[in-house]
Amino acid sequence: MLLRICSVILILFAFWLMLSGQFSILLLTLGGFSALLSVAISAQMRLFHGKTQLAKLVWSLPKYWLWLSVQIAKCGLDVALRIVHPKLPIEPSFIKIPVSKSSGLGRTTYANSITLTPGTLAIKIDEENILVHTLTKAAGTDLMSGEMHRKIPLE
Amino acid sequence: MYTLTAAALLVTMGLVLARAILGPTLFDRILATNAIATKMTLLIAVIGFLTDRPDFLDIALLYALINYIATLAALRYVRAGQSVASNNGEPRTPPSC
Amino acid sequence: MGNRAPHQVAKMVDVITWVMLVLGSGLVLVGGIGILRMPDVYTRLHAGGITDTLGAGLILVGLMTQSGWGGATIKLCLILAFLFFTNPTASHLLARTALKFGVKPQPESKKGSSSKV
Repeated sequence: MLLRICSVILILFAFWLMLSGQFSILLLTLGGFSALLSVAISAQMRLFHGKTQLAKLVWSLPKYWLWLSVQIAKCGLDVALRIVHPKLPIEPSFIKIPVSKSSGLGRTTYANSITLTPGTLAIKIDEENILVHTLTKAAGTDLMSGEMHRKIPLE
Repeated sequence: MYTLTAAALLVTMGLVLARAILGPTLFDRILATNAIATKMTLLIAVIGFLTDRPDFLDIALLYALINYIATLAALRYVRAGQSVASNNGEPRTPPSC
Repeated sequence: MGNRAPHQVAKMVDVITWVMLVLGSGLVLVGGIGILRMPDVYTRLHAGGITDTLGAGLILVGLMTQSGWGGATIKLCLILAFLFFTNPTASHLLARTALKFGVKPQPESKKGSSSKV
């Protein structure tokens, strides 16, 4: 946990440097102070008790993001064509899809990806199911096949 | 070309504003507010490039974050108001997190 | 970029920026039209999703190609990341609150799970 806290402080400080782009003593001190303060507040909120090994995700997560962006582009064009279509060919429906991620982070990533993909919208999440609102039949069957669930590199 | 993008964003904001005024339910209006703020973020970034002032990007960054907090706060307010009303005016105990 | 003259490379980058900005603006516009045309809150959220993901992504990446390697690109990346992480959360909460308050989906859905959740 100490390692985790130290790495978060370092990341936050690097973030400060990136945004400010200035290296005077005053600004560096202020940056270090605000990084420490944010970590102290996060520790108060018990945000450092997770078990996910973030170092393992450095390679697998960008790969997933690439796949997700292709998916977003495909679904987005489909939904855009439906919007400009004069008859508005949509068949909205609610479906329940199963989820078998044990960690909260995994489930959150899955639900966020579902919502990020145009045409599907995660509404209610619990331990086993996600209630999804879909714009078209095809989007629902795509989601039911569980491909996205398999691609997420989290458990 | 930045001018074209800025114009498209402004027109879209007009369309969404119409939805905010028409919107039959409260949630349509919150959705419209959220969408307008997202477009505003993009517009600020584009204007930064149009006038060649990269400082505008910091404002856009801040706007993106404030937009999120504002939507969450509005929805939370709506939910809290409902719970208080259904409790016969008795204040509810605040949520633990 | 080895064997091309520098001004040719710059021209190519300009063309890429043009294409991305025009496509992005078009998709943002389509999203706005969708928000106006769709029949209920849930479908409007889908329409808004296009502007939030594809439209914003294309416009911001288009701006990135013009800004070169530097602070501006990092900031544009951060704006994109924040939009991609926060917008789904906001849409999810909006839809969930709407469902909780009993906003009916407009063309009645066929599967029976649209009752109070």
